Amino acid sequence: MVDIIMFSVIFVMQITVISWYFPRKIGERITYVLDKYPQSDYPKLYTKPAEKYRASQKRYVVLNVIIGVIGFVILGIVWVKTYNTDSVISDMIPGLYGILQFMPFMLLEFAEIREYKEMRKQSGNKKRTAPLAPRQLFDFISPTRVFITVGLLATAICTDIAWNSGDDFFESSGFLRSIILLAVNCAFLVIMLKNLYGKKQNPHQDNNDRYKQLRIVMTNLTSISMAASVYFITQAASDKFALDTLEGFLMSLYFIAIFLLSVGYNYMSTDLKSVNFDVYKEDLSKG
Amino acid sequence: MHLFRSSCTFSSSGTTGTCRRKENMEIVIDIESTTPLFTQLIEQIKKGVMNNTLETGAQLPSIRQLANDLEINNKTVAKAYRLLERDSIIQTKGYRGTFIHPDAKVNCGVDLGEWTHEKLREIVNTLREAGVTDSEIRIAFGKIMNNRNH
Repeated sequence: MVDIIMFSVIFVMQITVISWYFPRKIGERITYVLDKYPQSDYPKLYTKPAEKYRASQKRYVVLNVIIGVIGFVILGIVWVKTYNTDSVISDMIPGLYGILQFMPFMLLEFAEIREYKEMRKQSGNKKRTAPLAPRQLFDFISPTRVFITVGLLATAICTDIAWNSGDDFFESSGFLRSIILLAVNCAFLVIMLKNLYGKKQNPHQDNNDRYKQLRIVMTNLTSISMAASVYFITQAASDKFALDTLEGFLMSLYFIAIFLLSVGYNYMSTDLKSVNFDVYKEDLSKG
Repeated sequence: MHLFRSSCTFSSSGTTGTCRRKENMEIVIDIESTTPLFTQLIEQIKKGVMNNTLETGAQLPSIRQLANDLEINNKTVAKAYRLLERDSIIQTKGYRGTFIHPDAKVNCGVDLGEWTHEKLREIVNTLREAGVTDSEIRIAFGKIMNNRNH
């Protein structure tokens, strides 16, 4: 009984934080930008008519509401299936639902990438600028943060292998989880390097804004990596000490943490008032 | 949270973080200018050295970073860096990167193009005094330039 109550509380948090609170805030922010920086004054900010962005924003909010409702339906089913029984709430429930919840944000990211691609295509900038200074990882995050991230990764892998490798090392859950964790961290490293040394996605972006964005990306990825390592340690502990009943709760908590460290941190760290929107005005491109 | 604070010193106005980066020189290229892109890069780096925006020992971005930022070919930036290194305006220290040469300011005053012109003029004058015709000089010059082994 305690398990299902604990799970319900955290799962309701997962629904409200990921599918209600932040989508609403992000929707408001999109509306703010569309109202405050209209297409007539900031034409380079838009690659298509403003109405299309408003329609997309509405679709995004509605999609999140639908996903939120699905969450409550799932919770109802979980109650019916596990109430007064010995059934264990599988971590697949909050896990798969969490992936579904992340979909609108993924779609938003892909839309942003497409938008920048179109911006680059439409950009008629004859003059290009670049800061004449090298960008290095430690310009954006501290060595301590990197050290802790790598330390936690090593701890997670060592713990899992030590506790759960069993007789057949290569078929153990510890080995499999370690491979996944390493792959995820490698992907993060590639994203970091691409951001640091790769092409500027937004062709009009002010260099100061780019530095701020880089800092957010680096902090985001290292935080997510740390959270993933901690989660994998708890998974290893769960396997070792047979804490199956907590798996659903931990997975839900993990998704909330990952969301807050990625989308949440990104949202809270970006102050629209400090962003230089003048670069999107028409007159700056001339000359 | 001080533990996690980056040592960086970036961004001046309106930053949401605590980092501050000292103002860096910004390079501007005009892709429609008749001046070649690598020449624009060279001229601006030299100008930066002359007006102290780029100080001795200051590190420059990598070829790849600068080429990506300016959305130009790596080879263009590499050519500019190579010519600047030849003129001892910058120096490459292996994997550590590319830096402004200690004698950059002095070397910026040396115009190798002008020096080459002066040297050639002296030689041509000597040849003319010896009675060599202009067409013979042109043919000889052409041969030398076409066949660098001779």
